[in-house]
Amino acid sequence: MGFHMISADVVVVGGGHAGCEAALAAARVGCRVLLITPNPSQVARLPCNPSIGGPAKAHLVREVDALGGEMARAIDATQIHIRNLNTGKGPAVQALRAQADSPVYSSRLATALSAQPGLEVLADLVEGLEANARGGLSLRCRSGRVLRAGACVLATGTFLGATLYMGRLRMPGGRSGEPPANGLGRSLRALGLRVGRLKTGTCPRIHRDSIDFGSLDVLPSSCDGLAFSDLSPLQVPLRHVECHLTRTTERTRTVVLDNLDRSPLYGGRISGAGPRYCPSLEDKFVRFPDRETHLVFLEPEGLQTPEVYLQGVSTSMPLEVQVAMVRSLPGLHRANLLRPGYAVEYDFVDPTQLDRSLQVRGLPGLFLAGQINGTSGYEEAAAQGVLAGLNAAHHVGGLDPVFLDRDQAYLGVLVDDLVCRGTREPYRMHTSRAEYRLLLRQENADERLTPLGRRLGLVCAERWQTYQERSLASEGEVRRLLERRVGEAEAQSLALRLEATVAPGCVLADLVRRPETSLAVLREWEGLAPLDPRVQAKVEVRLKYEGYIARQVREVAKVRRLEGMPIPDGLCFSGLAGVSTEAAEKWGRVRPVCVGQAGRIPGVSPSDVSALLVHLRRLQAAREEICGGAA
Amino acid sequence: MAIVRLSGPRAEAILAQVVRRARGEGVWESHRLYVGQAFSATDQLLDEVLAVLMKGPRSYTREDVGEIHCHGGLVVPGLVLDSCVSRGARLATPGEFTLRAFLSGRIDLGQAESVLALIQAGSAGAARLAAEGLQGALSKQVASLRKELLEWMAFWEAEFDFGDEVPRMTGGQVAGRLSRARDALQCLLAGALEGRASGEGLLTVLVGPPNAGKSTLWNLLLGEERALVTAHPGTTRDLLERPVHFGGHCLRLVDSAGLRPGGGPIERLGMNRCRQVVGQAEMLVVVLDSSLPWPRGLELLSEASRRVPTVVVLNKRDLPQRLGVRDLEDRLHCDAVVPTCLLRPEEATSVRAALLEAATRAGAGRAAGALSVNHRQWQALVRAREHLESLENGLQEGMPWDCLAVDLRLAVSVLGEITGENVTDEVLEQVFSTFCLGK
Ligand SMILES: Cc1cc2nc3c(=O)[nH]c(=O)nc-3n(C[C@H](O)[C@H](O)[C@H](O)COP(=O)(O)OP(=O)(O)OC[C@H]3O[C@@H](n4cnc5c(N)ncnc54)[C@H](O)[C@@H]3O)c2cc1C
Ligand SMILES: Nc1nc2c(ncn2[C@@H]2O[C@H](COP(=O)(O)OP(=O)(O)O)[C@@H](O)[C@H]2O)c(=O)[nH]1
Ligand SMILES: [Mg+2]
Repeated sequence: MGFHMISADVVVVGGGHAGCEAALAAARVGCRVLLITPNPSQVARLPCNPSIGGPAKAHLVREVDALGGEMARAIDATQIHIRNLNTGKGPAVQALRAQADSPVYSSRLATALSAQPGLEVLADLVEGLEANARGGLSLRCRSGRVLRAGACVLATGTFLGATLYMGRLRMPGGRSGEPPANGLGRSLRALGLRVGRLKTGTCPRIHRDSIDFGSLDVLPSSCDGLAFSDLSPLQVPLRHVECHLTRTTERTRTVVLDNLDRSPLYGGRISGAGPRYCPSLEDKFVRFPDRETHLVFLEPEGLQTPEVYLQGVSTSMPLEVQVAMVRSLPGLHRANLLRPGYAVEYDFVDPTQLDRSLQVRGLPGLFLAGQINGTSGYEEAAAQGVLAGLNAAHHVGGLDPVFLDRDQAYLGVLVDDLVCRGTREPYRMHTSRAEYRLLLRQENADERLTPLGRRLGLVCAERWQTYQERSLASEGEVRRLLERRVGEAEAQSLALRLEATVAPGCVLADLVRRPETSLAVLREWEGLAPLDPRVQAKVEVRLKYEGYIARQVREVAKVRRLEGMPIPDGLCFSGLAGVSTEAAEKWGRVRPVCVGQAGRIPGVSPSDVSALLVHLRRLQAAREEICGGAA
Repeated sequence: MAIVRLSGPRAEAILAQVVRRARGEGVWESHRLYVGQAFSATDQLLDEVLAVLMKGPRSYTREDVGEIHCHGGLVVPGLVLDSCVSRGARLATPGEFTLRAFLSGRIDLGQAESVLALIQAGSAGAARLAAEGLQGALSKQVASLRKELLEWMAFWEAEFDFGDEVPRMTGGQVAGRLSRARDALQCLLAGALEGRASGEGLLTVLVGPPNAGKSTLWNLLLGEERALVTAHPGTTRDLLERPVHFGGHCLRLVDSAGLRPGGGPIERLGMNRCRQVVGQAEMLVVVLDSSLPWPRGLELLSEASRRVPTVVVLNKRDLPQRLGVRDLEDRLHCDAVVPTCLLRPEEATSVRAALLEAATRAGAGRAAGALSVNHRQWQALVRAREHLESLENGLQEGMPWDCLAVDLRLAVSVLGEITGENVTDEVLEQVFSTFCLGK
C-alpha cells in the first residue's frame, strides 16, 4: 500500500460513544473532522448491558442532549422498553432508563455520523501517535495512512493493551471478536503518559426461545410517553418488549463456589481492579455470603435479534460452568447460551494527567475521552466525548477551553473527579458524587447547559427555539400561580377537589407547594388545558422544592470564593512555606487550577490550603484584608 | 481585654468604619492610640474600645495594621470581628499574621524556619488534638453518631442509585433512625454542656423584659454590685459578661438589655445585641416580673429555649401575682421554674441550684460524662442538631427523600468537621460494603 497523507482539523480515534459524540461536536462547531475506527458500520456499540440511563447516567444523557449531542435522541428513537426510576424519591434522583434495540442503536449513530457535514469516517486502526515539532499531531494507521491533525481526541475505550479472559482462555482483544490496540498504547507510553490497569466483565446472552417465561416475573415498560431528549416527542413507541426477573438459587451458588478456582478473577490471572458497583457473580457470592439470592434481569437485546442479556450474571467462568450457572436459574433450565460472558483487562491513562478540558497537560492538542480515562459506562463516555470534541475544536481555532463546574453539571463533577482525584476502579457516575445534587436535576439539564451550548455553537436553531419556548412557558406559569388568588367561594370547591384544606386568599402557588398537590389537578379544576409535561415538571419542581434548592444555591455561593481563586499555571508548589511535602507532591502531579480543586485532592490538609492561599495572595497585586482576635 | 487585629491595604479603611473615635477627625495618625466606640455592620454600638493604626512598613506584617482593644470574653471580640468581616476583611488562618510578616520580608530566614514550624505546629497540633480526641470521649461519641448517620445515608444513597436492588427503608425505619440520632446528639450536647460548664465556661445569658430583675440577679450571682440597678426600665444597655464559679462549674454570665417592643434608639441597639447573644447562648435564664402579665417582645425566646437548657425565674413574688407557671406553657420550654423574690439575697441560692441542675441534669443519666469541647465544636454539634431538626420538619411535611438527604448530608459533614472526615468517599465506601450491588 502506498504512503499517503491526510490532514484534518480534528482527528477522533475510536467510534465508541465517546468518539462519536466528540466527532459530532467538533464538526458541529465547524471543524473538518476525521473519525477513525476499524469498523464504521459498528459504531457506538453496547457491548455490555443494552440499556442507557439510570440514576446519574440519565442525568449525563440529558446533559449531552442539552449540549446538542446525539445519545438522547438515538436512545429515544431506538428504545424498546423505558421507565422513569425513583419517581417517589424526589426531583434530584428521578432518572429515565431505557433498553435499546442494540443493533438499531448502533446503526442510528452510524447514520448520524454520515449525515453530519464536515465529518468523515475512515475504517482503520491507529497504531502510533506523535507530537509534531511545530505543533499538531501525526497518527500512523495500520493501512499505512498517516494523518495530520491540529488536535486529536483518543476515545479507544477498552482497547489499549487489552486482554480477554474466559476460564483458562486468555487472548488479546479489546472486545469479543475485536483486536486490541497495542501499538497506540505503546506510543502513549513513549509520550511519557502514566497508564494503569483496570478490568471489567460482561454477562452471557441466551436465546429468547429457550426461556420459560411463564414462571418469571414481568417488568413491563412504562405506559407514559417518556423521552430523554428535549427534541423527541413524548410518545409511547410502537413496539415495546417486556423484561423479566429471576433469581439465583442454592444450586447457582454451589456451581459458582465449586468452580471458583477456574475463574480468572480468583485464579489470580487478572490483576486489574474491577468496578465495585458491577461485581461478577463470583464476587457477589464470595463477598456477600449471607445473601441468599441475587436478582437476575432478562433484557432483550433488540426486536430483530433473539439474544437476551442476563443482567446480574457478569462472569468470566469457563463456558461449561457458565452453562451450568445459567441453567440453575428458575425459568432458564433449558437456556441456550448464544454468547458467553467474559472479562476484559485493559490499560487506561491516569486522568490526573489531564486538565479540565480533557487535554493532556504538556501535549497541546491531545485530548482523551471515555473509558481510556478510567471511566466505565456509555453515558460517562458520551458526555466526555462532547467536552473533548468541543475543546479539540477550540484548540484548533485558538479559542479558550471550556470547563464545566461541579454545581453546573454531572459532567463537571465527572471531569473534576477524574482530573483531581484520579481513579482506582472503573469510575461510574452516582448521584451521591454530586454534592449539589438538587441543582443537577434531569429535568433542568436544558436550563443548565443549553444557553452555554448555544453560545458555543453546539445547539441548533430548533433546540434553541424549543428551549426558549419551554422556559417562557414555565416562567409564565410560575408567575401566574404566584399571582392567582383563591376567592372565598373557590376555596370551598378547591378544597373538595383536592381533599385538603384551602384558605381563601391564598395563591395557587401555595397549594402547588404542598407535596401532595399536583399541578395537573389544579389546572383541571381551573378549566385550563394540561401543560406540556416537561413544562409542568419544571414548574412543580421549582415551587415544591424551592426552599431546598435555594439552600443548595447558598452553599454553592459559599464555596465559590475558593473555587474562583485561580492558581497560576506554572506555580512551583515545592518549597512553598507551610505546604507539606505530600501536598506539594500531589499538587505538582495533578496541577489544580484553582484553590477549590487543590483542597479536594486526597492527602491535602486544610492547613496546606491556607498556606497556599497566603502564597497566592502574596502574588496578587491587591491584597485582601484579614482580621483575627488575640486575647 | 482582647485585641482584634487587621492587616492589609484596606486595614485603615475598615478600622475607620468599625471604630468611631471620640476625638479626632480625618486621617488616623500612625501609631497613635485613640479612644472610641466600635460599631457593628448595622451600626449598633458594640463596645468602648482603644484603637491604633500602624502604617506599613512600620508594622509586624509590613502591611497597614489596625488594632482594636476591646473588652475580653468571647462575645464582644466576636462581635467586633464580625463587624470587620462584614466590612470586607477575612478571618486570618492560624499563623497567617506571622506568615505574612515572613512573606513580606519583615522577619529573616532564620525566623522563617520557626514560621514554618509554627504553621506545621498548627496543623500538627490539630492532628495531635484529633488523635488525642479520637481516644477522647467526644470524638468517640461523635464518630459513632456519625457512623450511624452514614449508614442511614448509605441506605438512601443506595436506594437512589441502585433502586430495585436494595431493601427499601420504610417510613418507620427512617423515623426510628432519626429519633435515635436525635437522642444521641442530645446526649452529646448534654455532655458537651457539662464539659463547657467545667471548662471554658457555659455562655449563660440573662434575658427578659426590662425591669424584671435581671441585673439584680446578675449582681446576686456574682456576689457584688456590678451592674447598674435602677427602677427605671431600660437601664442596662451593654452586655456585661463575667465568669462565675460554683459547684465546680463555670458559667460565663451575661446580663443583657431587656427585651420589649419599641423603646428608644439606644435601647433598641441594646436589644439587638441581646438578640445576637441569645443566638449564641449555651444556657438561658429568663427573668420575668410575676407581678405583671406576660410581656410582649419575648417571641424569640420560645425557639431559643427549645435549643438550650432554660431556667425561668419568676421574680417579685413579694408583689401581687399576675403571672404563674401556667402562663409559660406554649411560650417557653423550661427546664426549671423558680419563683422568687430577689430583693432577699438569700433567695439567690435557689436560683443558683436550679442553674447548676439545669446544666448538669440535661446530661444526667444520658451523657457518659462531661465532654471537653471548645466553642467551635459546640457550634458544630448545634448545627448538626439544626440539620436533624430541619430533616424532621421536612419529613413531617412529606418532602421526598432526596431533599431530606440534603440535611442528612449536612449533618454528617458538620460532624465530620469535628472528626476531620470527608463525606462523599465514605458514603460510597459504605454503600458498597453494605449492599451487594451491580448488574
Ligand atoms: C466486556 C465489557 C464489559 C463491560 N462492562 C461494563 C459494565 O459492567 N458496566 C459499564 O458501565 N460499562 C461496561 N462496559 C463499558 C462500556 O462498554 C464502555 O464504558 C463504553 O462503551 C465506553 O465507551 P468508549 O467510547 O470510551 O469506548 P468503546 O465503546 O469501547 O469504543 C472504543 C472504540 O474505539 C475503537 N478503537 C480502539 N482502538 C482503536 C484504534 N487504535 N484505532 C481506531 N479505533 C480504535 C474500537 O474499535 C471501538 O469502536 C463494558 C465493556 C466491555 C467491552
Ligand atoms: N418588689 C420587688 N422588686 C424587685 C425585685 N427584684 C428586683 N426588684 C426591683 O426591680 C427594679 C429593676 O431591677 P433590675 O435588676 O434593674 O431589672 P432589669 O431591668 O431586668 O435588669 C429594681 O428597682 C429592683 O430593685 C423583687 O423580687 N421584688
Ligand atoms: Mg438591667
